[in-house]
Parts: sequence; structure tokens; C-alpha cells
Amino acid sequence: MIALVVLGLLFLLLAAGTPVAFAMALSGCVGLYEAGGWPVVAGVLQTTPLSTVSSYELITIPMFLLMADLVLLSGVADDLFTAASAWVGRIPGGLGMATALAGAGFGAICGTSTASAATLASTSLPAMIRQGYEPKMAAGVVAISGTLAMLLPTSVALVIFGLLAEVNIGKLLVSGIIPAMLVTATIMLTILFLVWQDPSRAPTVSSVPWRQRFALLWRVSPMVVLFSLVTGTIYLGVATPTEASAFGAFGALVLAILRGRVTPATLRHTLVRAANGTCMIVLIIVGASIFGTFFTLTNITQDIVGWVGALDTSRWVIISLILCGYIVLGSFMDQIAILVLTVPIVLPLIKSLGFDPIWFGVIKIVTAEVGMITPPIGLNCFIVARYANRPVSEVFRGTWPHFVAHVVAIAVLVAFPQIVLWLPSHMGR
Amino acid sequence: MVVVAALMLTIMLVVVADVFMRYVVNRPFSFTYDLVGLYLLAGLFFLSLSDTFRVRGHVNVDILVQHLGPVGRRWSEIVACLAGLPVFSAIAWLGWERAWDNWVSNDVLAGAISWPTWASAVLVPIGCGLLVLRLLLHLAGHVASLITGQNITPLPAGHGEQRLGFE
Repeated sequence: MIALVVLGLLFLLLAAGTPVAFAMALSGCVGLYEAGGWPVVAGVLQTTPLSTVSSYELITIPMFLLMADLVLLSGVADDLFTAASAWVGRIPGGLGMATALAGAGFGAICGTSTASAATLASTSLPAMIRQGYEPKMAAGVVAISGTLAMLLPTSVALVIFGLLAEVNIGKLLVSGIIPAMLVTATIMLTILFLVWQDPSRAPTVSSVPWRQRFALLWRVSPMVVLFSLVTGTIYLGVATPTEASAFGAFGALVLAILRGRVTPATLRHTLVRAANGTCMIVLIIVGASIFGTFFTLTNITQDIVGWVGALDTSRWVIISLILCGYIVLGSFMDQIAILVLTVPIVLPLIKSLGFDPIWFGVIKIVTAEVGMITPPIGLNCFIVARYANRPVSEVFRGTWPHFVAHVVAIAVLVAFPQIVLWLPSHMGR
Repeated sequence: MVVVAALMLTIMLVVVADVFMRYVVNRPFSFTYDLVGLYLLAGLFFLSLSDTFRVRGHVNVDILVQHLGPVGRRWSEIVACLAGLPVFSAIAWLGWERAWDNWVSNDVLAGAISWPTWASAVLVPIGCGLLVLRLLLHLAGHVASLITGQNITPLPAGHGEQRLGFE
């Protein structure tokens, strides 16, 4: 009964537009008060905020956010699309494929898909439209390619899942790599299909001489260095994810300085922006742990797990339902809110069904990618629409084929867990 | 916010220097873990609480609210302030008690370096206290705007504009 009242309060506050962290903290406190009185509330409020913050692994979040902003500031990724299009531009729909490749490359050094979508929208979108690509298709491929950043190492989203689920963050980050390749291939195949359907959507472009191709490849080398600095060190076990993230941010800072983009004003702006982002994320985690304490104290999680465990259905039906639920939630809620609200309940359930939590994390993030491009609040579509100065509805229509393709990709990942789990099982250390 | 920017930069440099010392000189810093976890990260978080609220960095679900008129949106802001006030006042007050206890009993962290715990604990009441003040100001501004009908505290821009995001 208390649980229902508390959940009702939570959803009422969320619907009223209260910040997610505030809503979770307040409703959690109300629940704790009902369950154990003021001493319990006071005990939780006195210890939770400071102990949540004093976790060393949490540093990964500010460092990845900082790295993303610094990469954006350095402009180092602007050449990525030019290089990719020189290599694959001749294939039907080549510029669209180059966008997907550039999205993957950018995602490997930048942990936020919004930053990635913004970069792609300002570099590859104008190039495609200049070449006579159908604007709807061009915008769609930009919006979806930006989401690859969530799946590749340096992904802030994966780190948040790792912190909430208490799994090995290094392994989690590495396990996103092969699924990200699969998703990149999915995007490219979708483009191929669209162009096959109607070749006028993507006029072919002129070929680029080989010498120039290699020259362009050389210009993207700083990104390879950054990528190996972070992912390489994690994979080989040389550095912890925390250390690797600081390395990445430092490397991005050096790159930005070398390219002459750093002034005291831009540096300060970047640092404060990353600090605000960190504060937002950490406060939500604090709110979630207050709320989570209430859930644990009242045995709600165990009850749900027990109830589902007693159901006479296949575990594949349950996981399919959960994933469908995530796609629906993702269309109208922020991904971080979804993560903190659901992971504490869904994860014990997943474990009790015998699924691997790391595998689930990666799949959850792929559903989050889908959420970034589904109306009404698919954030990436808004960003692309703003940069391209086109109506959002057009971008949403352009992402529709990719939505279908992504659902297929999710099904493949669910059916073959090895795709996710093979690489982390071969990690160093 | 200069302090926060400096903290951010310091965390990065300390961790990088620590790894560098470990592999190159083979003499890692003994203090990185405690220094960063106890002071730098706590400072970064608590001291930016209030500013993050100012720039509307704390994410909310605005799918319903964005369809409301100005008056409805003001009510939504008021609800947000009222939800935040009791929680953060309590955290600030309890945090202050804890910091005061640590200070009086001269509590230190066991280890090679005796870090005083009050210096970390005191960040809680400072950060949350500042947020409470801003919430009160914000609340008063919106209530006054509703009563007088004038735009005393401006309403935020709509969805998809210059938001902070981690995605």
C-alpha cells in the first residue's frame, strides 16, 4: 500500500515536470518515513549524498563528459566525414555510409550522442544535401549515426549503467565494441536498401584520387591515438576505466591546445559545462539511491522478482516484454531517468532469469539509441533539425527505416549473446 | 564557478599524473584515491548543485509541461521548488550536524595521510544550503510573478534547446 502511494507520488511529480532527482529523493523520503519514521529518513539523508559522491569510479563520468566537450572544441573530428567519404563515397549511398562510419569513429572518442549528432549534422549533412541526397534520408542517417556514441567506449551511458548495476565497468565498455560494429553495419545496409529502392535518393559522387585518400587518412590519426589511449589501455588492463577516462580527457585537451582552440574563456566554459553535466547525473544517482533504499527496505524488489519467477512463461518472453517496454519508455523519457528508475528493479530480475548483466546493459543501451530517434522527444532528431534548419517531423520520418532496422539488430543481439560477450572474455589481466 | 572549473581540471591532472608516476617513475602517489574521492569530487558535485539548477541542468520529464501555458508552467516550477526544498534543507541540516561532529571530535581518515573528514563533510551543507537559497528565491519569484502577473522570474525555453545531456 505504501509502495503504491509512493509510486503514485513519484509519477505525479515527474508528470508535473519536477526534476527527476528531486522527485525520486522526495518520494523516497516519504516512503522511508512511512516505513521507519524520522530516524530512518535522517540516517539515509545523512550518509547517502556524501557516500555516493565519494566513489572513485564516479570520476569516469566527469572525465568522459569533459573529453566529449573537448573533442567537440578541438574540431579534430571535422575531417572524419571527409576521410570516410573519400574511401566509400563511390558505393551507392556512399555518403550516407560515410556518415555512419564517421559516427562510429566519432563515437569511439566522444561519449555523448548529442555531441556526436551535432558534429555530424554540421559536417556531413550539408555535404550530402549539396550532393543532391534526399534531405529526409540524409537527416535520418545523421540522427541515427550519432547514437553510436552511446555504445562505444567513452560512453557516459554505459558508465551510468555500470555504476547502477555494480558490474565491471571496463568489461562493460569493451563489450559495446562488437555490437557497435553490428549496428554500424545495420545502418549501412539500411542505406543500401533505401538507395536500391529508389536510386534517385542518393546521386553518386566523383572519385577521389588514392594519394588524397591516404592524405585524408593521415589527418584522422589523432583520433586513433585518442581511441587507443582510452580503449586500448582498458582492454589491455593497463589502466582502470577511471584512469583511462582521465587520460582521454587529457589527450583531448592536448589536441585542442595543439589546434589552437583553447582560450581561457572556452576552457572555462567547457569545464563548467562538464561540471554541470556531472552534477545533474550524480544528483539523479543520489535521488535513485534514496528511492532504492526505500524499495529494498520494503522488500518490493524481491517481491517482484519472486512474482515474475513464479510465472509460467519462457524467460525469452519476459526479456522481450522488458525490451519493448524500454522502447516505449524511451520515446517519452530521458534515458538517464529510465536507467535509474528501472535498473534497480529490472536487473535483479534479469539475473534471476539467468541472463548476463553485462549483456543486458549493452542491449539496454541499444534500446536507448532507439529512444534517441523516436518521437516525440528523440533528442538527436531535434539537434539535427536545428543544425539543418529543417522541420523535426521530416527528420523523424527519415529515421523511421533505421528504427525498424534497429529492432532487428536488437533481436540479433538477444538471440546471440556471444556477439556481446566474446570480446570482454578475452580482455587483459 | 571558477572553483568548480579548477576542481575539474585538478581531478584530471592528478589522476593522469598518478598513472604517469606509477608506470614511468614507478612511484605512484599515495594520496590520489582519498584526495579525489573525498574532496575534489565532493567539491565538484556539491558546489555545482545550485549553478546546475540555475542553468536548468537537472533533467525533468517535460513532455506534458511543454503543452501548458505560462501559468501552468509556473505552477510546475513551484511544485519543483516545493519538492526540492524539504529534501535539500534536511540534507543540508543533517550534513551540518555531521560536519560539526567531525570537527569537534577531530575525526580523521585512517591511512598514511590523516585527512580530516570535516573538510569533506562540510561541503554537503554548503552545497545544499546554496541550492536551498536558490530554490527559495526561485519559488518567491514565480509566486510573485503569478500574483502580480509580471514576468519577474523568466520561464525556461522549450524542449530541445541548449540542454545538458549525457546521451
